[in-house]
Amino acid sequence: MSICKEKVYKDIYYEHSEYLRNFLYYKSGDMQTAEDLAQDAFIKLWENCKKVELAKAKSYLFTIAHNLFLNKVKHNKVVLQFENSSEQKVDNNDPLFILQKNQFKQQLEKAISDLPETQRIVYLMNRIDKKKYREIAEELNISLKAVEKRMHLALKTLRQVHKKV
Amino acid sequence: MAYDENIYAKIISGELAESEIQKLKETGEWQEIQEILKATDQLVLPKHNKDSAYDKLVKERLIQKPKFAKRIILSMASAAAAALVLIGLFFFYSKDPLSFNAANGSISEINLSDQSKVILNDGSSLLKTSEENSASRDYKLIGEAYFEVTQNNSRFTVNTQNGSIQVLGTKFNIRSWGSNLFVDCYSGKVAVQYAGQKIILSQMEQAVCIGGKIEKMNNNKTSKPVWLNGTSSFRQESLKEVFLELERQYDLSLTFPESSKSFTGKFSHDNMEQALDQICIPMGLKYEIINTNTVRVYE
Repeated sequence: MSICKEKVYKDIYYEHSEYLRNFLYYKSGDMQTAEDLAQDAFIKLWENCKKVELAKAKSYLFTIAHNLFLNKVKHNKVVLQFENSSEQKVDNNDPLFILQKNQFKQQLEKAISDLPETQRIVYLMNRIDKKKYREIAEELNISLKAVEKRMHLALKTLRQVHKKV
Repeated sequence: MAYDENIYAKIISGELAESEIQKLKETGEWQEIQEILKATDQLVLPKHNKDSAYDKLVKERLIQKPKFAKRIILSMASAAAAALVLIGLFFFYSKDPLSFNAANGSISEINLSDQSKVILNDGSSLLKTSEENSASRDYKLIGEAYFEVTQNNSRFTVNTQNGSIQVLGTKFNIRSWGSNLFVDCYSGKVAVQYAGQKIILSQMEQAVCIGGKIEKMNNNKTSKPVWLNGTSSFRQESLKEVFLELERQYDLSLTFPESSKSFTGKFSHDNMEQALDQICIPMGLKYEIINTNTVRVYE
């Protein structure tokens, strides 16, 4: 099973491209940059398809994406923006309630954006991309303990948002 | 041990003992963390359109491949190709591979060394995959192109992501976007291979390959694809593909609602508003032109 086979390569793309883009978004706070760098990482994977083992493709992509980011992107302050999940039921139409809710969302977005990069990435890979700690450790090439530590510290900071509102 | 290391992280992984949970509940930390998690889980990012992003990626890959090659921009002779806008033809000079592409919103005409002619529709790429002096002529096509192949002793084959087309001196059009493949034969014969099946097309026949099935149809009266005359034409094609074509033709950034409807009809390449009307009016859609290259279609 070589990555140089179009079908194998395409499967890898369909499985990981969105996560890779999201990862780059958590880092950069800019969706266009994230999409461009994710494409670049996949081009690099194609160019090196003979050298990369299939089992290593995922961590290869994340490492390349990380390096591309370091070399190409000037480090700006990150301001993340999310959409509301459509599954979310509107169970209360009271304008005051909606206002408070929106305020809470904004505070939360800001607090997440202000987290140190390493904590922000781990937190969002777990919550948005629904990845288990073990998967995150594998992709970021760090220990399981390190993932737990970052997660714990992220939640410790985010807890303060709750107190403010 | 009452307070474990990284205790908040363990709320999520569910590794806490009952006594630890109890303790967190007493201090209110449990409830606060749950609320933060609940609020975060309602956040989503825009969906990633994998099909179109993958098409784009494959194209970028073709362009980036011959890094070492000299890039010569051919200045095109005006030629008799009346309505065609012959811009955006890049020719990467190297023995092999050889690749061509037409930028969005333009059509490129290519004369191959064996006297065959290829006209690439907008946003499409063609790559030569056979060796310079080999017995066969193999190409890879992404997108849509019209071919006029000169007959000689070597086989002429065009591979697409959806299927392959084999030729012995003929005129034909291939349209291969997304996962659909349409082949129109205008003279001579072509063999179409798709999903393990093979059919032979003669003059004025069309192969429609969708969802693993291949169907032979009689092709209308035209002797060349209509896009060569500045029109895009569709028969029972998904609305999404139609909008993607519109996006390529006018080099637009277009947003449109998800739809499972299909569209039969044409749109012209020289007037964007007219083209939008031609699609939106019959489909009961409305549109808003935000600026020259941004359009929003809505229900």
